[in-house]
Amino acid sequence: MSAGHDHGSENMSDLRLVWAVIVNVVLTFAQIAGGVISGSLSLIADALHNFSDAAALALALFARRVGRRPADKLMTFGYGRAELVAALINLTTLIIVGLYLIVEAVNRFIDPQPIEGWTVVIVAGVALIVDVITAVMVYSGSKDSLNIKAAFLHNVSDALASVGVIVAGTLIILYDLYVADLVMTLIIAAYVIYQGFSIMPRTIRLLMGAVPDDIEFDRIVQALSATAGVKAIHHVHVWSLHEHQSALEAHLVPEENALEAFENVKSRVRDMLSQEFSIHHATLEACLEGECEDRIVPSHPNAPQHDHEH
Amino acid sequence: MSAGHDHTAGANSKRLMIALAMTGTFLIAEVVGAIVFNSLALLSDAAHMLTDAAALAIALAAIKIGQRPADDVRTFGYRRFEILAAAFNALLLFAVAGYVLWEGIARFLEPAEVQSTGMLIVAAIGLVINLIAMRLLTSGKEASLNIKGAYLEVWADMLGSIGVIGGAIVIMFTGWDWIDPIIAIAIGLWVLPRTWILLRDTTRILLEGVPPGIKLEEVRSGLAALADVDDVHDLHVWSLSSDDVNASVHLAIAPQGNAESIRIAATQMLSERFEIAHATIQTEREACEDRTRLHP
Repeated sequence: MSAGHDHGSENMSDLRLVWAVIVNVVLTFAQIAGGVISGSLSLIADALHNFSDAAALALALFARRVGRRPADKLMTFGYGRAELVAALINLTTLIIVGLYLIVEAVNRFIDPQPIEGWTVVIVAGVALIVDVITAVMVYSGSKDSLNIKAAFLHNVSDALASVGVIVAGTLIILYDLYVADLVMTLIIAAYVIYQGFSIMPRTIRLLMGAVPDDIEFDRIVQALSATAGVKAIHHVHVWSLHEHQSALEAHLVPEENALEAFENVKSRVRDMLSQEFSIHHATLEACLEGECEDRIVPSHPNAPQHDHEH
Repeated sequence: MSAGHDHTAGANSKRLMIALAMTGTFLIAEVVGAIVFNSLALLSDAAHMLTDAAALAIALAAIKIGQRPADDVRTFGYRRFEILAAAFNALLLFAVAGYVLWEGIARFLEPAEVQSTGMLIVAAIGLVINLIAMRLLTSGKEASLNIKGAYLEVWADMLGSIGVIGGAIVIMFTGWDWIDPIIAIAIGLWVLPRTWILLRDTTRILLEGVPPGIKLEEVRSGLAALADVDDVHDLHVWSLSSDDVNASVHLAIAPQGNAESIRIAATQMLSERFEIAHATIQTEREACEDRTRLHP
């Protein structure tokens, strides 16, 4: 990576993610093999869940690698947003998995299937160990990357599902308490769905091109207006290029109507943005004769279908 | 792109509303039918209809939200919500197609007995509803990825209905229950590539890529060809939604050039030739240090 960028998500190596994927894939195949040999359906079902884990982690890894590609003629801001799209996908599938767990639990409760004995509990125990190992490997990266966090949540959901199987399986085998399965699953699914929805808004906000949550729009407008040589500002946009980098566009009316004078104003504004707000990508339009609009937030949506005459 | 557009959003939302009302009504009828006739097939078809209704509702909400003006947090406005809705729809469709494939394989291994008459009647009503909904959405789907997502969902459902009708007729005459899962798998495989394309298009917009139809090189040479422009750098072209293109660029101006008139000329050129309605143009005497950055 280039030295100048402050990539908060880079505090965890890719290798950990690679291992997390490998461990989950190996477990998936082991469970399928075990399921086919022993004829246990629950083993195969759990293999499927593990596979979804591996897929979530693999998607996160893929997006992370794509995200490092430099800008090109197609993606002129670079590929950093790939990680946000991956987060959106993993969060959506997480919520779908949560809903699916509920549907399955209700089906099982209405039409109870005989539990295949202690093997189910043992299998869930092994899966739990693998999930905990993966979760520990990925946890450090999940703190400041939405992408890794979304994959991590998949892992947590799988680990919780294994806990659910162990507890409910034991209660059913020992006491025929079939309702335990339903209750456990509902609690776990509720938690998973809650987690999914709790980080979805931030992901959507970043993808919407909204002002990043650590920057206050009014403060930035004030700081821009206060810079020496700036008479007025309007048409300000601040948005996230990716999770840890922001960009700005603004129209400035300089006090002096000469392009040479604007050079100084521009470099002052740039230094200020970079030091105070960590915005390193700014495009500043000079409105020299003031033939510009006067709103600070432009009247978007500016698409043709929006009629401005109300 | 500009003339016929003025009322598209309003017309689209009205059509979506009608399609949603029809799908929703049929959905309820199907659930009632499933309970009264104790039919699992009907219930699963109702689930498919539910994803349809959800897709239409999301598309409708996206249009309504997309019309909100920009504010201090979303300075570009809410138009991109539509793209997120389309991406979400694509994911939902992937999930449904995956489920159908999975269920189809399971049924193929262990065929279930199918009640062909009931299957035929319900699928026929579903087909009519889907055809009307498709007709309503056709005009808007080319201009908006959001409507396209909803359209694809209804389209998948329509093909499903045709498949089910054909299957029901074959089963009626031959009793071959295994036809049912084969049709289900075929529908799943038919829908997946289209869903992939939808997801690819939305991802391109979310990654702020150069919109299809615009070549970055042409924009660059168009700007460089303006009188008294010495250098073009840090050029970005991206779109907020399916038809809302933004640009930002640095132009180095020759010593004799007038920055204000070049700025106005560049804005006009971008808007007329490339339909870029929103451009931020940084004029400068000397190409700034950003030139050496990795930007194309």
